[in-house]
Amino acid sequence: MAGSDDSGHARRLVVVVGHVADADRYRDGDRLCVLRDAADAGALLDAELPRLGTGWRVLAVGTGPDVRAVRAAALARGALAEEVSVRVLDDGAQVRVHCGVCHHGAQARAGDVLECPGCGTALVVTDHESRVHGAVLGAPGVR
Amino acid sequence: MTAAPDDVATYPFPLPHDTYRVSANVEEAGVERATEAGSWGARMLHAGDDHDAVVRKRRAILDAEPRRFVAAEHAREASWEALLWLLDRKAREQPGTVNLERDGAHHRWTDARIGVEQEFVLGDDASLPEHPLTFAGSQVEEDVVVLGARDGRLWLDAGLVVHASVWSIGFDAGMSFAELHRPVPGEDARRVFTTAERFLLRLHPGEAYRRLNWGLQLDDRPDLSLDTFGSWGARRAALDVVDPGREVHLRTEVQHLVKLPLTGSVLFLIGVRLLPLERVALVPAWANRLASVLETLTPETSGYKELDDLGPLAAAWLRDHAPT
Amino acid sequence: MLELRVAAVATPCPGVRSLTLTGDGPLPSYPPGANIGLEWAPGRMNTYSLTPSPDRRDLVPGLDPEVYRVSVALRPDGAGGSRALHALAPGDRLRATTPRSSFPPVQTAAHHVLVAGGIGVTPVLAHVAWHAFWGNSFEVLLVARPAVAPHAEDLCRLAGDRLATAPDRTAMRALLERALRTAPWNSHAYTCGPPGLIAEVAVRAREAHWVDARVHAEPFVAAAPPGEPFTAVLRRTGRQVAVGAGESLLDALERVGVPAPRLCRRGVCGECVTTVAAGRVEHRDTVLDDDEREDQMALCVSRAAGESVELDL
Repeated sequence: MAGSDDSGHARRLVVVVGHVADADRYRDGDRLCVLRDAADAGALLDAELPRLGTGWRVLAVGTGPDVRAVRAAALARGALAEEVSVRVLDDGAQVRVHCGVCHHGAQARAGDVLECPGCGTALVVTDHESRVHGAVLGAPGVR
Repeated sequence: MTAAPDDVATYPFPLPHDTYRVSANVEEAGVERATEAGSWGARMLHAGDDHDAVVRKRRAILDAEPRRFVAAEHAREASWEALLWLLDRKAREQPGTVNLERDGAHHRWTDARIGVEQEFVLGDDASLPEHPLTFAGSQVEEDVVVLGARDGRLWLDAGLVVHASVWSIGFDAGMSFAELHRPVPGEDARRVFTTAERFLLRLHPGEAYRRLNWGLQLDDRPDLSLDTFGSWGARRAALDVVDPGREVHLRTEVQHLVKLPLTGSVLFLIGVRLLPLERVALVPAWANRLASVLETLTPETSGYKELDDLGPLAAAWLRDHAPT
Repeated sequence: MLELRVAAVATPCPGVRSLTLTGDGPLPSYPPGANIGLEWAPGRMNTYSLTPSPDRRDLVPGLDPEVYRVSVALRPDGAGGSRALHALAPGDRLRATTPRSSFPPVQTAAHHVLVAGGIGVTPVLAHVAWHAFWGNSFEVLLVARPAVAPHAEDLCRLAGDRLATAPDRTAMRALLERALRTAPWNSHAYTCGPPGLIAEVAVRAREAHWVDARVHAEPFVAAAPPGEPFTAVLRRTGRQVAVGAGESLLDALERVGVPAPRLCRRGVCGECVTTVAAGRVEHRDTVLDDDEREDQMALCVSRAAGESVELDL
């Protein structure tokens, strides 16, 4: 449960969404968890965090939208911003979009217009970001 | 001038100058302020002739769309404190019809005007039929938001908001104060909100301040949440107006900011008051100031308030119809 | 300011005097870790932490209190505040500020590690009462030599087996290391005590890889410095207005009937910002930027930096 490895770094819970690439970048004390779907991050953290202690860090690895989802789940469970870091594996241009009308989630690129898969409203992808949702606002053509 | 009708006489007209810029414009709460038509502000919680109906309509919106309420688990203590503050305040402002009896932790709440009786034990979740903030927000006309203070910032920890103006509490839940105000354009405005947050964090326990915000809208529905965009968005986009005097409304939001003394959270109350232009025009000074403000808005503010089209339309109507 | 009366005095341990203070009716509510300033001589304030009554565990601590309770450690070589307060007897009156929050619990914490030494136990006691009422997870580490620990009994009653006591700093180090390395996810630590203890906790927390934002200490809170008196010269009329040490420029102008726009009175809204024609200004507002401060000031909070300031009024 102690929060440090032998080399004096804070220990990390590494949450990889997808598959593990460049495994040499992880440290001895890291606890590595692999998820297929970022939507499972909350359940994973609920299981893991009670076994860890204060002093641990969370590192999220995956595509832009996936690391945002993991970070959001960590923040919702009490992590402070400085305790969560991310490694983005794609070009980061895709973002998660939160429909302001029906609160459905989607993915798109900044500045896109898309049709909400939940309610069909035409949404403008804004730059209004919620760290808690790990998503930007999809505004119904009003901004 | 003859006595103005009640909705005008008690209207918190928000524009003191002929021009407008985004500012913190905070002042002490509970202080009566005279206007050209009467006065407002002695009470923090509004209760007009239609109080019962307004409270019921608010509850109906929440019941139909439970997403209008959010609360983080850690907001429990602040939510209880917000409940206590609101009930106590309402009882003080409407003695005779509203009462909060206390015996230690045991409380008995009666509001004859909206027909509510409830006993509860402060801090005992099981003693209320619902979340303390849902209960509290269902006793008043105001939208209720709890901003938690930590790490030198304010965070939207909980809220019951059914009268949002083109935002959604479901999306904004959990945001920091700076994140909440991200859509407000311009560096100056950004600085205003940084200053405002610092001010709120420094308030002493129990202090209460207020500010006014304003806009124009096409009808008399206070609920312009993103959640119900389907029912107002199309008309707003098409600017489908036949009679601006009756259809275009000045929307004034009376915002109260209370530093809850126990938890240090900021209780943010938003009361919406709508007045059609034809009633604004009953007070020539108001009509002239509103027209002048609309004619001189910066493009940024006009864009943010979505007044690029509605503003000139309203200004033209006011110039044509206001007695000079 | 509050007008208070001493209702009772007690000596919980040698060198510490507890005062029970009452007002006219219920006093303003206060958060855990809050303090009040007590005026021990005209214009001289010391701040002390408020401790709730340990007897009413069914009531929310700090809500509409009947009394304020403070404990004052005697500082024989201090400026005189603690000596003056130790000399108070029941029935004596004194003025106090309303409560100020300076050391609040973090609402998001899953667990609170409270560390106290010496008279630093007073705000920690308030935290413990709060957490006990709300059922929050906490533990208390206390540095205390037997017989000279104020409020150790109160703490013991409220915290029960969640209290661990260390007789000296060395024993405290061991307690700290264990507590910080085994604290559950999302804990926060709070220290009130001598600077050495605060530093010790900070060092041990870093060793356990806690980020600084999880480590809190009660800073010493000095009362706002009183202003120096100065003269405001009103350029348009040539009138001179004397501004006293205890009043704001805005208040002084209102007192003599000079109208000035105003709203917040806190240096935030900018309504009272006025052009300065001459004189240096001590800016205390949060609304003007450096450029604007070249020739403007907020009347409600800012003051002349010298003997006078000339205003375009």
